[in-house]
Amino acid sequence: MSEHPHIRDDERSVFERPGTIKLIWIVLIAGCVAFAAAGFWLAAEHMMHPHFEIDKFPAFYAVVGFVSFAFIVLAGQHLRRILMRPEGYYDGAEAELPRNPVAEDEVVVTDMDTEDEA
Amino acid sequence: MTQLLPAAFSPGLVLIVAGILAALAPRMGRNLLGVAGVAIGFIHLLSYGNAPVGEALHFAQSSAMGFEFTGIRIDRLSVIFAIIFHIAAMLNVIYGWQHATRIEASMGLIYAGAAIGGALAGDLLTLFVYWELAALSSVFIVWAGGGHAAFKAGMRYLVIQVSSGLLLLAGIAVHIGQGNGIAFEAFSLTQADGSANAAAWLILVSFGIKAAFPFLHTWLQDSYPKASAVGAVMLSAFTTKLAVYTLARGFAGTDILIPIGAAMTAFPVFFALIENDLRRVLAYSLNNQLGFMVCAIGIGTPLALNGAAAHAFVHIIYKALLFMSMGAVMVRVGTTKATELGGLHKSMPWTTVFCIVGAMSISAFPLFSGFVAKSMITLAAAEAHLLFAYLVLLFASAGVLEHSGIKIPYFAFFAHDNFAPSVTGRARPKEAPAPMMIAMGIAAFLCVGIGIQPQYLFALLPFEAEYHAYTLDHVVTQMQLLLFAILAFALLVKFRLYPAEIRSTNLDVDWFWRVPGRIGLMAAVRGTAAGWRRIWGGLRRLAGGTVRSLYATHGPEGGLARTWPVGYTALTTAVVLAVALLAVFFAR
Repeated sequence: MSEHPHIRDDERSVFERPGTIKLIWIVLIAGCVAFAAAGFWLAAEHMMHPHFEIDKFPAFYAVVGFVSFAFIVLAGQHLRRILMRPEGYYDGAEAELPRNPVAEDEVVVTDMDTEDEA
Repeated sequence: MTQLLPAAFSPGLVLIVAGILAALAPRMGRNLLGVAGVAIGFIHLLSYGNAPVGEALHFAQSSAMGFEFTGIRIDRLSVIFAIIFHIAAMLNVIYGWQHATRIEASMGLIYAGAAIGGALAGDLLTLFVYWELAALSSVFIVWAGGGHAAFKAGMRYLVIQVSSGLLLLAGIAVHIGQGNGIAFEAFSLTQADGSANAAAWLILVSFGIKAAFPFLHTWLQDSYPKASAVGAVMLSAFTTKLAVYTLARGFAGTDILIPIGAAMTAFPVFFALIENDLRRVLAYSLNNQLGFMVCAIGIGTPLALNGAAAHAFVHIIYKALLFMSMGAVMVRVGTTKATELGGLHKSMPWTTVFCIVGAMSISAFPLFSGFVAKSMITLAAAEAHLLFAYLVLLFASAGVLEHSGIKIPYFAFFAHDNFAPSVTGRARPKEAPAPMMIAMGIAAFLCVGIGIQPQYLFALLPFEAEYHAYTLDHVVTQMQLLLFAILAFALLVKFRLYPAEIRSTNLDVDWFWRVPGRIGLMAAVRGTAAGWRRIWGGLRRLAGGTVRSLYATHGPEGGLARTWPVGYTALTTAVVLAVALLAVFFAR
């Protein structure tokens, strides 16, 4: 499903072989075509039950799915310019360390305590 | 059906008692107490029987201080929530078999019991007690995550949760002051004369905090990812869905919930996209799912309310499943950051499969549980001709697919293989521990089972409404939406337009109180301290001056404390005699 220039061939799983990825593409595109066609067929048979003007178009949901997803990804990533900060922005680097959930952590004083002393 | 336990004893109390005992027991004892407590509570719940649609059975009724208490109300709406809370509690016990700490095992049961008791509460004061108990027990689960960050997040969580409780109590007080009883029934946001009903607004905001309304939501994304692998699964089920239940009970058909719910489905989609910590992505996803339920409650038709209840039911299972799969990753790898993960399907195949089942359920693929519930909500929006809400829900459905359907399994289990032995020099992480696999297996089974045989879920729904999930047009339109969205994903990845994961902290509205708010608070603390010092210093100077002047006259060296010598006495006597002599002389 993605490229791994640095791992050995015998470490690749079936999902990482070019043949499988090609097959996934074929199945995906075939599925898209089939369900879009099914939409037109159902509309011709009057088996779609649109509730608004806009969803009378038989491939309306295909368009909504594609456009919504693309919009979320293409527009959403620009939020990083406003919202992204380094790791540990709030709580310091300690908060970002991998944790052993079973370990008993020591009680740590809060910032407020230390600031009071200062 | 005969009662297993006295009818006045809430099933929630069974779990609470089990939780208290579990605090004292060793690990195996805790586990057995958990299984027994949840099983007995569940059988006890079933032994009440379910009420017919539109009717309610009342138990544990009493009257004290002029209030009519109803400890237990059995009706269709309360029972479906109580059932799913029991299922979630059992999954939690199994999932935490080896990994739950003493605090988590004990508080997890008390927390589940509080949610069950709250869902069954027939009056507002009983609800308030369970509402607060849920807050107080769950904060220990956040703290059990360990470390400084979890401690601070728990404190913020506690402040916000207790504020919700206080608003609820204030709302109840105003409600009673208006001459109402304490029975928990539907509220109206306006009074008969058209003015705003303060009691209803207070209670709505209280419920809204726990339901994670926009701008009140950040406690969720802040605290859940900081809990432990087991703790996050426990937290994901109860608080927010208890709030959804109370909204459905108190505010069904309240129009303002439609835009609130629609906003809740849409905005987390963008935050989830850029977030690196996959458990935080799940927390945003949870927020988005709550939006569907809140929107349905706002629509308020029988079909919509059935949709909200059904969606809460299936959502608890698949969201727990997704949190469990990320918890398994957490246990084996120590992190759930997308930048550190990838390729885990090679050594954690079962966890991968379970995660994908959860992902397909939440994305509402036909034959999975999300499909049969969510399509009820979108259909209700369409039947009510709410075009804008309908389009937002469709947009959010594509968003769910993006962050929960694709991002979670893709970055954790596929994407770039970060665990290849030739790269790390170590063996790959092991498959999840057996109890976690069993819990995930049960949840995955339920996701597929409800998807294939939805009639068992539909039989539990609170209202009569005609609905068929598997019509040709439902299936075709949903598959169009999903497959074309996946096509968009595949194309974006192929053309390298999909954003790479970046190690980062992403701001949310809690920035306002965590940074400027904190600076303001600390400035207020310092200002108060300085002001106090000034006042105190002034008082001390004043008091010191008084004491010093008193000392000067009355102290051991003071004028009035001198020992008076004989000569001084003779002089005084002479002066007095002279004055007397003069007085006599002039008076004569």
